[in-house]
Amino acid sequence: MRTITQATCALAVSLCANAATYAQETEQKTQLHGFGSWHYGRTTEPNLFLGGTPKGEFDNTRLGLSLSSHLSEKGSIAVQLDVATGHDTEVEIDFAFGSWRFSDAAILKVGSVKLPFGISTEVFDVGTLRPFLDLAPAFYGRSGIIAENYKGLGLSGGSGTAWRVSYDVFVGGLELVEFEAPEDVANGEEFDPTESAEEHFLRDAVGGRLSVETPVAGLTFGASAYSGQHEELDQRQRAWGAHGEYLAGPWSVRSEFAESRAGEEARKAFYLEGARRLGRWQIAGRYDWLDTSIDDLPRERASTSLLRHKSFSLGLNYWLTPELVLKAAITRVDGNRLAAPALEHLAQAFERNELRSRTDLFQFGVQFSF
Amino acid sequence: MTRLTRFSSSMALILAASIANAQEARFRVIVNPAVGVSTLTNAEVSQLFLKKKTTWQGGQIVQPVDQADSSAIRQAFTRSVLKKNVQAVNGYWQSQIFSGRAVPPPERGSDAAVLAYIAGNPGAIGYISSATALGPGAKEIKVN
Repeated sequence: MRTITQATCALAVSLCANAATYAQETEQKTQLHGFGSWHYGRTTEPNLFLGGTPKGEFDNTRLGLSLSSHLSEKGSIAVQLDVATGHDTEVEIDFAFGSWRFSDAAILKVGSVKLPFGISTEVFDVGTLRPFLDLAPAFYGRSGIIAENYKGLGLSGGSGTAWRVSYDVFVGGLELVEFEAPEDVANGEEFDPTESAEEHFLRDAVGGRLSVETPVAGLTFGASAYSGQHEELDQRQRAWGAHGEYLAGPWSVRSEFAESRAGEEARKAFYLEGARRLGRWQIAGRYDWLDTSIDDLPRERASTSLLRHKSFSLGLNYWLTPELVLKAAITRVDGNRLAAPALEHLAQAFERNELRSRTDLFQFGVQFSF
Repeated sequence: MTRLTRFSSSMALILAASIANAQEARFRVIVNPAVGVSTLTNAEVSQLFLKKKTTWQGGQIVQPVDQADSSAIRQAFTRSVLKKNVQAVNGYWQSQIFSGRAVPPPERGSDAAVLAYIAGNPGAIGYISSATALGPGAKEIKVN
């Protein structure tokens, strides 16, 4: 994995150097941008959560490089590569697609495209666009509700001035990533203790998002939905969500709700996040909640902390520049759906009634974009 | 007497700062003469600069050009026309870039450079200080 990461980084650096030179020559035709982050995370014994461990984890680093090129007045391509190290070292292509602009109300996209669902699925890992190091884990974490991108064909566009309506629709496939072990333990199922997250592919997926920008500057709201054939369950997974966002002056307020159902499992997630800038300083608070329910589960198992997640976070940030920010946050979690012991101890801790449902997390780090 | 002098000096400074701010806010929106419009609303100019509207009425591609984001003229234009601060607009462009949707307009470091860009691109729109003279390659449009 390390060799792949090194090779990918070398390729990315080489690509950057060539692209930067080309960009200087062609200015608007080709542009290279990027984002990155590093953070330290420490949790209370014995749970792991958001890159934090009881001993303290330093190895949470991420780099993304985004290259876009306008091939003609109407045609363009965009590629984004993402490299992350830590417990889940990964190299992935965030998106790679071609687009054709018929008009501002109809832009065709073909390839691997960021999923239009809610507020932040399209900017998942860009830390300078949010007040916390991570997006709300109940909604954007490995809860199996949100995919990062779709593979297929999409159409997007917008119209209107005072009230502006934007839409995205797509058909294709989705890959959902889920931390499923707590559900498996609660359900009495076997799981692979070497896999911290499971990937599920949804075939024949259709979905979309509708967003409305209101005449009140910075106030946007909308709704999203998708449906796709779950390959393992051989049933359709359906999800819908609603979102609202207010970005004005020093204030940012965001809230989202989503509900998803696949077979006998249903999930509901919600968060409310607010932040205020005070010069270079920023204070932030967030509440998020995830509920997992499994049909026909015995009552004593259905009420386990393995199916519950609630957390409250407070953050303090210092913006060195608009593209470079230092962030610190404390989070208190109730439930083991997303904050749980190491996988090799999880089932045993549940059977012995040794799970600790409360987790405290401290994070400190830096995020940037260019 | 000393107090009166200090008070007068403070008031003079505040007045000077207010005048300076008022002067900073003075800009004019210009386009290439090939663009067939003479008047736009604030909201229309905002849509052009945020690339929400990318073609002129005749089908020509809109080519907006910005000034450097640290410049007083950029800050005044952004506040007055886009109804946001430069930081919020930069955030908007970050979300557009990293979702693969659009990239921000090119930036030029002076009024002269903006005028040269406008003259060289048939669908161009930009803004310069109202004190800067227009050349033959640009025309001013009214913004309501």
